[in-house]
Amino acid sequence: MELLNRAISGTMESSDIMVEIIPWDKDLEINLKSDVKEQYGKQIIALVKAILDENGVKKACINLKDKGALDFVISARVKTALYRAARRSQ
Amino acid sequence: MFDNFSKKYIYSQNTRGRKTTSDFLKTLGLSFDENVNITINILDGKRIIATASAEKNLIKCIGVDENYRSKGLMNTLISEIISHQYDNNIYDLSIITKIENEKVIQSLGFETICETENIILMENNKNKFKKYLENISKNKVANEQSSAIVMNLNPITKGHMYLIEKASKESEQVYIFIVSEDKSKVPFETRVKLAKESTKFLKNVKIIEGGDYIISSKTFPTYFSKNVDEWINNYCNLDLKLFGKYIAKELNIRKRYVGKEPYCELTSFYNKKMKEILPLYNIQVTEIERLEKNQKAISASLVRKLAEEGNISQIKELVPEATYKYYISKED
Repeated sequence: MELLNRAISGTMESSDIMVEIIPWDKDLEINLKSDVKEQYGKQIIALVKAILDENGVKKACINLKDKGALDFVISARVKTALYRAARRSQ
Repeated sequence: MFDNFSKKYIYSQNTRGRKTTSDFLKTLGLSFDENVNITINILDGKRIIATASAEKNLIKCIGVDENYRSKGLMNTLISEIISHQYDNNIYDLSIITKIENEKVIQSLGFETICETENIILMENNKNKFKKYLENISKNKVANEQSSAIVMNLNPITKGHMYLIEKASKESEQVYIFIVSEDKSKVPFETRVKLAKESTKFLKNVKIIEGGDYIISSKTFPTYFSKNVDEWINNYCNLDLKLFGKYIAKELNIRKRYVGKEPYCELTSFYNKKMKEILPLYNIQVTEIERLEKNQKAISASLVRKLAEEGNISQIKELVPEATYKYYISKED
């Protein structure tokens, strides 16, 4: 998937996550802010990486502001942000 | 979100919506800032229970009804504002708020850029200020002692020229920061162009675009109706700390010139604060008497008034040639 512009999805409401994707020329960078970073940080980043891999995204900056989102929420938000960044509807 | 709560977007043309928001803010001891471009309200039924607005990249006029606090409404509002501004290609947001709110705003992904005793400037892109300072330092001319003047130059007059020339004579190097906000009658680019042309003959004067962190008393948010004086005091402290601690350091600024302010109370208060705070950062403040013409200080507001009345010929003796030419070309 080719990323064309920066994009955002989600919210910072409880149990949600805000995902920002900024296309760039450098290697993948994932910044996570989360109240449960210590407990679930690794798991969240692994999940996001897996989705990016699936979509062939290798060069981007991903900013995550997590408010205790469950995995399927994270997955949905990341995919939405990716589609928006690639200007695709599905 | 709770079932009976709804979100409402209010754009600048929605006078009625803005009025209701303003009434709500009043009940919290705050007031509405007419300069905002977007307001987002949360309603319980038909009643506003929380509101937030933004003017470009600055989040403003935040208020939550006392009975609805600790429900995460702030999270909803800030998220909405971020998404809305994102769609308008405004990615990096700033917020100036009471220091008590630091933790809450921090939890929404903002980091502290500058703090004073009572208020705090926070941003959701920590690199923005760093980049700003890097860009400022690109203007640096090698020397030990420089002077600075912060000006609106709306438009540049002989009064400004008098101050600039005096600073130029007394300093090795002078940096003039032009306030970037564009509420001015004369567009920012024109203000810069006229300033550059008018000061070209002064070899040690450099014009710098002020950007987001040169606030000037004219751009202070004015929406704190309760304790206005206290807030103005807070903003002066913040603005001057940003300047003294960070911006001035990039350019070895040791002196700041300012014109004496005979008319505007806010500006004269700001000047007073300047003399109080900047010396703490090893910057000396020099206040210069205004240049007068027929017993009246030459001011840009007088020039704008004459221009509006079509008195272009009277402008001639008040402004440098470039400014005069600008008004003539506008007439055609």
